[in-house]
Amino acid sequence: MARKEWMINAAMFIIGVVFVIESLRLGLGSVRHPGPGLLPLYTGVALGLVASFSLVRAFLAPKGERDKEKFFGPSIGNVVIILLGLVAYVFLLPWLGYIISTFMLLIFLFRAGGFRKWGLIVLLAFLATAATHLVFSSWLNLRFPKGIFGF
Amino acid sequence: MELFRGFEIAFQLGNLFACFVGVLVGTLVGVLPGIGPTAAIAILLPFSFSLTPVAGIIMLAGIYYGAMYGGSTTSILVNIPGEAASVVTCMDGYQMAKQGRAGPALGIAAFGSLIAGTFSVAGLMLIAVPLAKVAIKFGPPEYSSLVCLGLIILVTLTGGSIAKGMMLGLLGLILSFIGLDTISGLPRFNFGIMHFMDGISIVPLIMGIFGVGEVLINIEKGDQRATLMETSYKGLLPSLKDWKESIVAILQGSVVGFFLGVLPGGGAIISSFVSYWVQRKISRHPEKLGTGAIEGVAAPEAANNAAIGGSFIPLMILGIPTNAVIAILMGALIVHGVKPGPDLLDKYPDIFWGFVASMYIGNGMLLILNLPLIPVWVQILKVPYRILFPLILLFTIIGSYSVNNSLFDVSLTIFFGVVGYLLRKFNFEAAPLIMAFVLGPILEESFRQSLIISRGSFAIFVNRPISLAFLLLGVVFLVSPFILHICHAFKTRKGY
Repeated sequence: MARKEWMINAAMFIIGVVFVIESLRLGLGSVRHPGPGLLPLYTGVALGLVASFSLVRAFLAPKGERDKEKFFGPSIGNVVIILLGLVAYVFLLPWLGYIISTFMLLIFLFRAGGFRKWGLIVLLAFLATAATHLVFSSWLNLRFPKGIFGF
Repeated sequence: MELFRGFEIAFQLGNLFACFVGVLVGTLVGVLPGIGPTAAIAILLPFSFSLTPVAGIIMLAGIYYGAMYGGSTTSILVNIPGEAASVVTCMDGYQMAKQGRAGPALGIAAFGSLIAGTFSVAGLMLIAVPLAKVAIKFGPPEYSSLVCLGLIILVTLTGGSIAKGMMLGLLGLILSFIGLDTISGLPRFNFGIMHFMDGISIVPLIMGIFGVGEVLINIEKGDQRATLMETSYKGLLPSLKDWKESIVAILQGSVVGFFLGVLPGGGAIISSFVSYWVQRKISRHPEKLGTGAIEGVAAPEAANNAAIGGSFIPLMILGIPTNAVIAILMGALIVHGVKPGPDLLDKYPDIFWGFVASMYIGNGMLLILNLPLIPVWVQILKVPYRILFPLILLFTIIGSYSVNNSLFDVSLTIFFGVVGYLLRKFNFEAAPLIMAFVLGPILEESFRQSLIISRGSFAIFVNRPISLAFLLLGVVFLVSPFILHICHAFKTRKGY
């Protein structure tokens, strides 16, 4: 058991507690007429119990080999950058529309992934944007956001 | 007769095309390491909604069994399993490739898969009808107990820590409670967010955890390109000697795979490992396994394909998914307005029999696709991940957006992507979460209905024999790992 797992166990415990409180607020009804909070209450209590058991076990566990290992891999920076890029894309999509924001996202992702050839990056981003727009918007009638430029 | 009707449906042009696209995409994702069938089905799930229910399920199922075929190619040629169910194939497949026998290895993998796939479809057909007649008698208490049993078996068999499996199962149930309460109509657990009024859609959850999560974990590892084995893959047709050595392995893999596929948590991965273990036990030359024995390729490849047919039985007849892929397929059917369960055969015979017939056709297509196209798949293996992942992410985003034209769903997909990434980092298996999420509404509805029927008495779950049997089985599965652990500790202390 890796000691670092206390973090995820603690998160599960908190989720369990939140759902127990919310279930009690919703009302449990009676066993003859179970209310909307009854089964969520049981589930929340069970999650809290299992998580607290795992939490205690994680704290009591001796330091193993896995605890000495680095938690994040060599390219964790790329993971963060890519996630930020995806979040930015969701914000930009309604403003810039599908075509511009997707083209920009793809260039960003190719670069973040370590692709160095600019010409090829732009070509691939253009082709993927055009192809997906053609298939999903023109053929499958999916309505992408058009943004301030109207496309 | 129904099967003939099924073939009529499966041979309709649209369905035939859906089958072809499914097995083609399946083979492709099976070949490409870094994207498994679960992620591929998750990504293509929203696109299946634009098809008819039967074409949608045919395509998604095609991806599942197609991936099993494709996975063997990378295992044999590169020693990297394209998907988890082909891990065991590496042991003997790669050794055969090193000895210049990649051709027969690929050939027996494809033929073994075809035989096992056909066997499991026949099994599915034969078992489904009688089982449906029994299952139609199930009431709410039986369903509650059956869902509990399914979740317990999955948690205990998925591998890794039982506590982790339980936590994710419970989390999946909790997520399924978000949204309107089906009985009282009250909104629940939306925490003031309007988008949660209708609950969490299965698409962002699955695409996030399996699609985005898998991409993030691969990026973190860095670009690990495979070195292709420079070997000849000519002579794909196995010789008579190869057939003699592998026919028992194929048959044993088919039987083991099919029955393990029926069990919740069983599925293709466990089946391939178990059939390899069985092969070692029954082989005349067990010492040869692991050194390039053709039976070491045939057994797991047959098993992982046979498991698929088996895993459709609980879905189609009981409405209970046995693994994450099947849970996604169940989600797809529900979105199409088709509720899998004992009355599926009566209500939607076209879907069931059309799907069964398409699996026969799909298995044949795969043989044609796999053997002559192996050089093409090998070339595809050379595509670097830094080109693939932006496209995978783009398809994931479009897929999650397309269901409701909702950017909130895209945000949710990214959020669940981070959750999926963290689960992998902490060695959590996501299958219990997805299954519990899909089964949550069935469990809650049947649980509450049972209590209403019994006027508040929990005895209803133990007074009915089938329900009691399910619960007892659940207890056995839950307690057996602890008993085995205690027995093992006792034996170790005694020194034998």
